[in-house]
Amino acid sequence: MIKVENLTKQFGAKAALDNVSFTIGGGSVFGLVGSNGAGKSTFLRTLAGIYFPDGGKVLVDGKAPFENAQVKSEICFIPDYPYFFRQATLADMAKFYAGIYPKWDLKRFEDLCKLFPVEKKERISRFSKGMQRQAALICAFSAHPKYLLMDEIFDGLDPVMRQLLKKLVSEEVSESGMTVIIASHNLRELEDLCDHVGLFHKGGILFEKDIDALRLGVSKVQAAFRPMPEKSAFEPMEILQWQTRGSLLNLVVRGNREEVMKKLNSMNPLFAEALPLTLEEVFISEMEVAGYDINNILS
Amino acid sequence: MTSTTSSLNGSRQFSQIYLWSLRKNIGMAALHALLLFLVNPLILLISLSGQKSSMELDSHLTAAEKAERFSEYYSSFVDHMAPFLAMFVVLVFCAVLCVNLFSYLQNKRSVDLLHALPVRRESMLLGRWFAGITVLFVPVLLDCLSMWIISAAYGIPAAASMQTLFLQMLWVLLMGAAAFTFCVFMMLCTGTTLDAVLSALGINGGYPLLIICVYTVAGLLLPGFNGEDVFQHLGILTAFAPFAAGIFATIDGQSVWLALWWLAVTLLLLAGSILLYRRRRSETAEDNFAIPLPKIAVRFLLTAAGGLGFGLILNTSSMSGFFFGVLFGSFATHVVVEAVYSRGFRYMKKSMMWYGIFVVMFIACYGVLCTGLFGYDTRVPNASEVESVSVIPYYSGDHSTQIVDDHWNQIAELTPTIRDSENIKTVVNLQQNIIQKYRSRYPYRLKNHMGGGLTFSYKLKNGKVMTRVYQSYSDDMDLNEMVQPFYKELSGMREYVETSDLIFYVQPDSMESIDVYTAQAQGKTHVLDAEKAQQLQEAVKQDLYDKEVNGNDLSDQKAATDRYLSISVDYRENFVPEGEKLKALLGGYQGRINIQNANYVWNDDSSATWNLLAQWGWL
Repeated sequence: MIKVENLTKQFGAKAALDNVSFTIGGGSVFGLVGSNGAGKSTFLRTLAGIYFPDGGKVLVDGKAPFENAQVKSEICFIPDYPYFFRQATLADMAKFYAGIYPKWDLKRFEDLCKLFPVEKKERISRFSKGMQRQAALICAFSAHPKYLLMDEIFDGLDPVMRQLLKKLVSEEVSESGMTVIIASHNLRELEDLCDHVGLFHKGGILFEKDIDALRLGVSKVQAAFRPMPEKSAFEPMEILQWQTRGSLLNLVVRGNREEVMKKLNSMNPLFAEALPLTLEEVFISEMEVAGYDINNILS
Repeated sequence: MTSTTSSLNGSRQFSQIYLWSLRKNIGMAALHALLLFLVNPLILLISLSGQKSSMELDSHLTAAEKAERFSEYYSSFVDHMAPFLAMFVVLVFCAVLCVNLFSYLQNKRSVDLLHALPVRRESMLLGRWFAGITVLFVPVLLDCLSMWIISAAYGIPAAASMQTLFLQMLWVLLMGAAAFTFCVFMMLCTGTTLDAVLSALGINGGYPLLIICVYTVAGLLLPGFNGEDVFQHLGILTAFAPFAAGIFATIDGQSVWLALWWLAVTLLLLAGSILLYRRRRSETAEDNFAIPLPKIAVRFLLTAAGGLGFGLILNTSSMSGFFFGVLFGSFATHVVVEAVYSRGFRYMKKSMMWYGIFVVMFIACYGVLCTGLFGYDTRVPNASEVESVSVIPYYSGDHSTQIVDDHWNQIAELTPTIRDSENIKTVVNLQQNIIQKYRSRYPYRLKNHMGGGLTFSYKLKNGKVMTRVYQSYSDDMDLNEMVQPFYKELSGMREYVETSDLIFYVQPDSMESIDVYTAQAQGKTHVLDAEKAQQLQEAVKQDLYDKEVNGNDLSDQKAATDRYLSISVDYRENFVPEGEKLKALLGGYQGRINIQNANYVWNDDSSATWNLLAQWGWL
């Protein structure tokens, strides 16, 4: 389990993380979303023991990761731009990791090298961006970490590799109880993979929720009225987003779908229907309520 | 094949990093070994081969003489050239290896990888440091071994040659370790490799430059302070500049204290590096500095050296020129250094605080020096506290004072020394009189030297040594005029005269011949037999005791007159020292010695030497 308590990280005068507190349960896939500069990568680096917190603490199974080799041996971090030693091949990196990570699994490494289309004897510097990410993934999965941290991992991966990654993550989570934390702007991919999400903004966390609960708690409906009722007529529904175009009304409302449809139908619309809600729309709605400039935040 | 170990312990972390780093630098080690082989064993091999060929052509040499010549050549090579060349290569590799092993600290991506690994920072640093040291040391040891094999192949006795070789290479290793650790410390302090290189260069160049400038200014300003012997204090001159110290150590100035100093510095730098690395923020990679200490140090050193250096250049024109030079030179250097470090002028205004600190320190130091450095200028020991005093005139004439061994390395130097308590009182009074003359221009002003100096070196009964050197200045302080009456007193002291010239120490048979010069005849050489040598030695001694005729100690002005006699005494080459007095001066040295030629000038035809040579018909 990862416990974050009042975590603060400063870069000069700017707070990249400002008093952040939340918990990530074991064996889950946690998505970190947020605008550029929200603090996602800083959080991952602090969690990986690269950065030392300026305030508060981050605990992995009750222990701080910074300068703690025991904790770090259970963590693998794949940054947004993975680094490999100069002139190194994937085989070289495997040899290095094998000496460093106590749970390094050579068989797993060989299997993954067959699964991903990369050549382990070729210099990694000659790999494309996506192939370098695949190389990093192979090394990370072969180390059998208890916690896998990935920053913008979908960048550069083709759709097939994305699916393969999702499959591998799902297997590891279900089979070995691995906890996976993924920071990404790609909400569509996260939606498929994560069971929890946390929304970072300006160094703080706006919320952290179970993704299903998040979806169930917000509904999107479309209805037609003639004449269009006043907004106040929809009370006590908690409207997150209100959009009208002639007699057509689009609403994002807090509450489950059945309750919302029941209330809407009681107002005699020309028609009313529930629409599928994406993670992105949930976030946009939530953040509009919080008064944030959506266009600027979800880049 | 999954391991079940929970994590690596410290020593496993260290060994994994060490072995990995070593493996990655095997190529560098091979290159290092190759370069060392090219500059040392190969050159030695070629040179010895050449020596052998030339000696085979010389049929006069016996086998023993050939072996001795080989031995001499080898000793000379391993004592001077080999360590210098090895040190140069090692220092270059210190910098290269440091960049190779520690530049990861200055790249955000590599920091992400390496600082996320389950390896403590101490293990990471020490593993890489030891890998660097291995790559530096092993080729040097191989170099040493190969030179020993060459010496054995040429039949050079191992005992003496190995000791020199081993000691010299120990210096190379020590200074290599110091320079490498210094570079590592710089890499930890800085955020980019360029800043690390600039800082290392800045400290290694700036510190010795500043010391030279400070010594020079103090010597020009403070009576009694000798600013010209800065190069005699290589320990101070290079105390914080390991690259400069490394080069100097192979040329001159090796001592146990210096070795202990650099050992301590190396260990302190290593301990400091570990502490620093523990606290170093990973996010400072690619910033200018993780810890701004080198920037502050380099900016100050270069600002001060630039200011004082430019001030000294302009001082030749006027006193105000010095202050203008200091102000302009320091400001310009500060601006340049700051602009280079900050890659622009963004922080220039903020940096002026540090320039202000330099200005305040300069004013304070100048003020202290021109008011006599807390009594340094007037400090004279009580005659009762003095065991002996050496008075070395700024012009020693052409007396023979230096003794060298059969390789022409100096082994002893005679300095005029006074031990008699009454004579010591006279010398103390003499110095006090000189001080009063200098004191007339208190507070002191910066002037230009005329060169030379009169040195008083007191050996006190408590074991301490106090030395003062007085100079002539270009304006109103002519030491020559000032000292002349005192010098007459000195040359009347028998013990002063007897310790001024080696003629009082040698046996007559060590004198081989003399060249006689007069106003009428130039350079006639006369070989001395035993009797003549003894007579000549007695005559010269008598003339040196007679202060009325031994005026050649002041200058050679009299020699310019029409009536003069000059002789040059040639000593035998490589003679065995005899006589208790000479042996005591040599302090236990057992080998053969050489003494430089001695020149004596007279313009008084009543002198004993003049009469003796006239009697022999040599004039």
